[in-house]
Amino acid sequence: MKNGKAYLVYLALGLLTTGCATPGGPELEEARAAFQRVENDPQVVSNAPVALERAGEALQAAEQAEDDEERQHLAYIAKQRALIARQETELAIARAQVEEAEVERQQVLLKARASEAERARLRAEQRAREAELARMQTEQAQARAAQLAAQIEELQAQQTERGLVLTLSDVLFAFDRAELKPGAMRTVGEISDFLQEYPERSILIEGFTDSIGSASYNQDLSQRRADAVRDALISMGVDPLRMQTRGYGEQFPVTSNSNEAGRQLNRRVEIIISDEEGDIPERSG
Amino acid sequence: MKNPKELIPAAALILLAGCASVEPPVEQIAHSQTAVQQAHDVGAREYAPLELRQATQKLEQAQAAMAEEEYLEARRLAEQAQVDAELAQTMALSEEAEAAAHELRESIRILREEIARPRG
Repeated sequence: MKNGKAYLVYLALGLLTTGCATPGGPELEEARAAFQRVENDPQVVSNAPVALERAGEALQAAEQAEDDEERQHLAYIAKQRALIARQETELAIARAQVEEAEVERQQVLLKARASEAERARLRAEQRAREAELARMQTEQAQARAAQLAAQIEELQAQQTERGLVLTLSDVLFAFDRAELKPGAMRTVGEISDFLQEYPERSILIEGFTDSIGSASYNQDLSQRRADAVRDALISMGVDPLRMQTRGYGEQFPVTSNSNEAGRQLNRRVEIIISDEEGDIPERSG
Repeated sequence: MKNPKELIPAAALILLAGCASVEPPVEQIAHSQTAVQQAHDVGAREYAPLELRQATQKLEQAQAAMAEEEYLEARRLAEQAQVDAELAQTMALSEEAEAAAHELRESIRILREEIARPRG
């Protein structure tokens, strides 16, 4: 019957069209979807063009397969090729990141070294400054020591076990009196200058006479002479707390009193300058 | 007796079936073995174990099909094993590169911290 044949044709066409909606089955659908995900991705296009092309070719082969089994097989191949294209892209991107990170690491290392070098330089500069300072201080200390030696020499002081000893001779005093002559002021001034320069030192002023006259008179005169020297130094600004006086009268002669020369030598005032600690051992005996 | 004409389609089918499985896919299997070995070499055991196992299993199945003289099946399995192994290779390499990038970024971070820390 003609109607029967027409119906069959329409049925066949219908089957064909519904076949086109989902042709080839789920495997081919999966392969197409996998390819779609990569074919227009610019990262895949630029990083894995060869893998992308192979995936496209594999999909085409699957589309053109003639039997179901072959199509299933080729569709699987095509899907995997699309995944490979994706993975190759990820690989290329990761490798680029590794390279970038390497470059950055080098830069950071350089910076670290530069800043460490800078710190080392600053430390070296600091040490140099400190060394220079120490050197200058040593120089200053040496200069001062030399100065002291010079001043001591100028004072004509003698080093003894009690300290430096200056002797003011009898000629600096008025005869038989405790007043200092004007000419003595120069020596007193030198002593005052010394004491200003070396504030840590103190002095002991000891007065002596010859053996002419009574012991008590001589004791008194020697004490008053020692005091006179002290007063003169006070008038020049020396702190009295740095000075002590003693009168020993005719004790401790330095030479025989039997002639005038000897007696003049015994008539003296001794000034003992302390050490840096300010101590002066007392005269023994 | 059967119509001899009915035998013709049957004969044709038998011929077709014979034509489809022509040669043993020896070369293909060799390619697949190489691909699986390469996947091992680039660390797929560590970085893409599932994909590697899939490739290995398919290769074994391909070799079993070869022994059975199922050459069409063997070819298809070997082709799939190859593409699975290639995927495993690429995955392994990209995982490894990502791990390296991560490690590098960590070491940079630590370096930066050390620079920033004040030292006497």
